[in-house]
Amino acid sequence: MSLAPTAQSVLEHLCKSVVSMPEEVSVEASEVSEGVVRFDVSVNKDDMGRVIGRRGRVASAIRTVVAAAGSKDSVSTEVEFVE
Amino acid sequence: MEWVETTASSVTEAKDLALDKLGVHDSDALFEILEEPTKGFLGRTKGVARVRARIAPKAPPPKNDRGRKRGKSNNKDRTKSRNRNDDSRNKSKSRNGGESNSDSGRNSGKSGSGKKKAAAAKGSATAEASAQGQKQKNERKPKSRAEKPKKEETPVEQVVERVEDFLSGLVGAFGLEGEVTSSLDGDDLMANVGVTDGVLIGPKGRTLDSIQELTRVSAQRLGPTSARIKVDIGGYREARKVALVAFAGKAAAKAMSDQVEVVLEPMSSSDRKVLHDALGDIEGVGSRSAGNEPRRRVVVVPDAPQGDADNASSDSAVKDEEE
Repeated sequence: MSLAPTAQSVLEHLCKSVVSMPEEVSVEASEVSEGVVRFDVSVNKDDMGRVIGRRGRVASAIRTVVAAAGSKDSVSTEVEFVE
Repeated sequence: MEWVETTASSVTEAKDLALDKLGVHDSDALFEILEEPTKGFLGRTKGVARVRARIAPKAPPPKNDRGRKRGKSNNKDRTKSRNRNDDSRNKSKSRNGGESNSDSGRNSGKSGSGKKKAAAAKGSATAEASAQGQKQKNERKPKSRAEKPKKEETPVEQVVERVEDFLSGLVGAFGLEGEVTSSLDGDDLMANVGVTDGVLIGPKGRTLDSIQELTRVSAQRLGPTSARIKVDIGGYREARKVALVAFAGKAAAKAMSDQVEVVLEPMSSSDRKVLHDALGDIEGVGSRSAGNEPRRRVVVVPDAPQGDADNASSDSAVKDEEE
């Protein structure tokens, strides 16, 4: 949690707001290298389409906002969505 | 697609010359190197670079324009540069009747107006016919929305609440403080986040645009809504609009004085809309968009189309012959 608290809470908020089953959203953070945090977001299978969106629009919007949040934590971020 | 050909002793110089002729920035031009100085073609022009260039996004609008939901803006742009009257809707109507031939190459405009016509016909037809239309509509619907039969539209109060909750939750997650206010004007829901921290806006408002997109998605989760949701942060959009309108004025002045098309830098669709609206109000220029997202950009087009660009290319052709 301490890797990038702002980015993580923003990411959780975004994902939970977009899916239909917010209780099934979970986010795992790992440091891939110095100053780079990777988030693996898992959502219910039926919600995959919602977090990705048409042509990945939602996913890329999430990435943009999380990147902004990551700047508060002085890290760059990667976001991956898994079922 | 006016190509400009230039000749110089090096490729770079030739490119610079071409850019001067086109009157655009390096990133806005497409180059084709015809001859390089080292490898002379048949040894004849050894030591001379020949470059062909044109303004980059001048290609015909890409195909994916056709499917644009609000193709109106597209029509508008074209009609503006063609004949300027008052109301764009009137224009497109008159165009449907009058000069449909001139549009034969453009499917986007055609199919759009075709639909409009059909709709109009439906409206004026007898009750029977409209009932039939209704029936068709109903038959079609379950196909596209198989799993969700027919949902009531979400009451707008719920949408407002949802939008405000989403945004204030976001502000909280960012560890910021700021009040979220919203105002409703017809179907337009404008939510403003009272935060001055630029982190929520991002370069050229990209973060803000993403937040707006996610706000919409989040509101959509409640069900269908007719509300058009816009998000602003600390009055950024208004300030940006003022800056863009001023910028449009400058670009228009350049386009008119040099009689060239001025290609602006890539911008988001919301910025482009502001520019199109602003340019539409300026006498002597029109505008259109060119290129593909996310590098789609506004092109400012001077009204008199017997362009300088043609002259420039013929000039350079003459020059080439002389040399």
